[in-house]
Amino acid sequence: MIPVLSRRLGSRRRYPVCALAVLLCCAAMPANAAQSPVVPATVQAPVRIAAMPGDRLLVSDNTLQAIIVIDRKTLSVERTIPVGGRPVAVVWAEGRIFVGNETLGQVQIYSPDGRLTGNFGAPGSIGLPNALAYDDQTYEVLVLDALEKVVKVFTIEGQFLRLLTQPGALANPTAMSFDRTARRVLVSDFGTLAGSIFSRPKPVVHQLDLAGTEVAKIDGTGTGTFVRPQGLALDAAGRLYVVDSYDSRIYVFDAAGAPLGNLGGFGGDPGQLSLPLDILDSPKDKTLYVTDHGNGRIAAFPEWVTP
Amino acid sequence: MTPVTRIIPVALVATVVALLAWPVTALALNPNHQCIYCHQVHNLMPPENLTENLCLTCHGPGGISTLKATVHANKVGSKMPPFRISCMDCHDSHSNRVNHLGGTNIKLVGINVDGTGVARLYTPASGTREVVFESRGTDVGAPSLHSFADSDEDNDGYYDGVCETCHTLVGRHNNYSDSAHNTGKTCTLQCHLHTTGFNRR
Repeated sequence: MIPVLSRRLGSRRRYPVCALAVLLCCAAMPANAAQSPVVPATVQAPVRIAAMPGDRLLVSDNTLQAIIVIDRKTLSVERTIPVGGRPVAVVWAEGRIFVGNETLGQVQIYSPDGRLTGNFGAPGSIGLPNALAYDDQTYEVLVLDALEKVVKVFTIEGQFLRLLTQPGALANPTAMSFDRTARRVLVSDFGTLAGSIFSRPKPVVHQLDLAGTEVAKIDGTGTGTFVRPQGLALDAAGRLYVVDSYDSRIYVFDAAGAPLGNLGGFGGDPGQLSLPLDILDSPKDKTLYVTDHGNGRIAAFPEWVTP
Repeated sequence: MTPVTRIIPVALVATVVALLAWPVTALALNPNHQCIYCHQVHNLMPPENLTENLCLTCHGPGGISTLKATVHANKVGSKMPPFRISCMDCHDSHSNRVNHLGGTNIKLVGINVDGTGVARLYTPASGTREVVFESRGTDVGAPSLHSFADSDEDNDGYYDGVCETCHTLVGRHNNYSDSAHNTGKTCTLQCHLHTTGFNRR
């Protein structure tokens, strides 16, 4: 046992060293730290990430049970908003922060200064609020409930409007993103874990129109790509980035859905990831921000450049 | 190659293909975990360094399971020696094992450390120890006997509850003495949640 434990602790000993190196690196070049992970000191277990006006990032942290507001330029933590439970989803909409609280089973609404101003439904009414998206043309908030395996549509004030997807349409959805240009909803889906490998639904990214009809999809396993897809992002060129929590990579597809390559890989060194869960494209600095959950940090990668 | 040695690899391949195509939950496996959940077709075993992440893809935040978990490690600011107990240090992903008292553990607690198949754990400071976890405790209407920390309720002189068996420094429910602190209760229900790495918030 002692050798086993020693080996395990030995491998963990590398992490503080790596973290220190990364911190020093970030101090030297605080902005545009492309391909070097950034480590806001108070991030512990980041889950989802969203953009906030004023060049800020919103990060849900499962261990801190808080939403962390980060200044993207300086990578400093501007504010920590405790949410009274484990937050998963987070999105900014019309001057408010919407939070999917897994412990409470509901969506909470916070003001930018951290005051709770409302919530969606009774506690427990949204079993696993894994992802949120906002349609700024219809003022509707989309909520992905991974327990009921549906996408629900609410008004921005929290009134339930309809189901975007009917029960059974999605196998095991996990995360979601809204394509404002094409007005499509992108949903990552683990597929069906049980059943024959020859007939069960594969991991997939669904592209749905606003009626909930599937207009396109990208398959995972079987084409040598993702296995447990999580967060999704689109860049200005229409490239789709899919975070795979299983092998800690970011898979990149062109606008037609053809695979281009991947970024990351398992590990704790700069440029590596461990259990990444979400991704955000920042057009301003052409940088992808990734919640590197297992390493307890936010990682930054440059957008994909075709060789 | 003799006919027999030729047959063996063919039979193995046929068995694997049959299990993947027509999966059945073997009696030795947890019925909630079918082979294909973790063993991909062209990557039968996850790499060692991904095993924890593999569990957490479902049981971690953003995953599809409602049974959420975080690895057991120091709380920020903890004065305890550094430790990190990962999923498979406590759980056998394949089966609920028989314990040293002859009962069967629940929640996949206890691993086959020595090839005997009996549920045991490697501990940070006490070597290999027996672990007994047959009840989730009185807070959920289950017996206190053989729960998380029953303070040797069966008086066999062995503190083998799943919380007790490793602990030597925590002040309560260590593996060498009685403790009256919420004995027999469901430790993970309100205070020491698996989602917080068992640390009290």
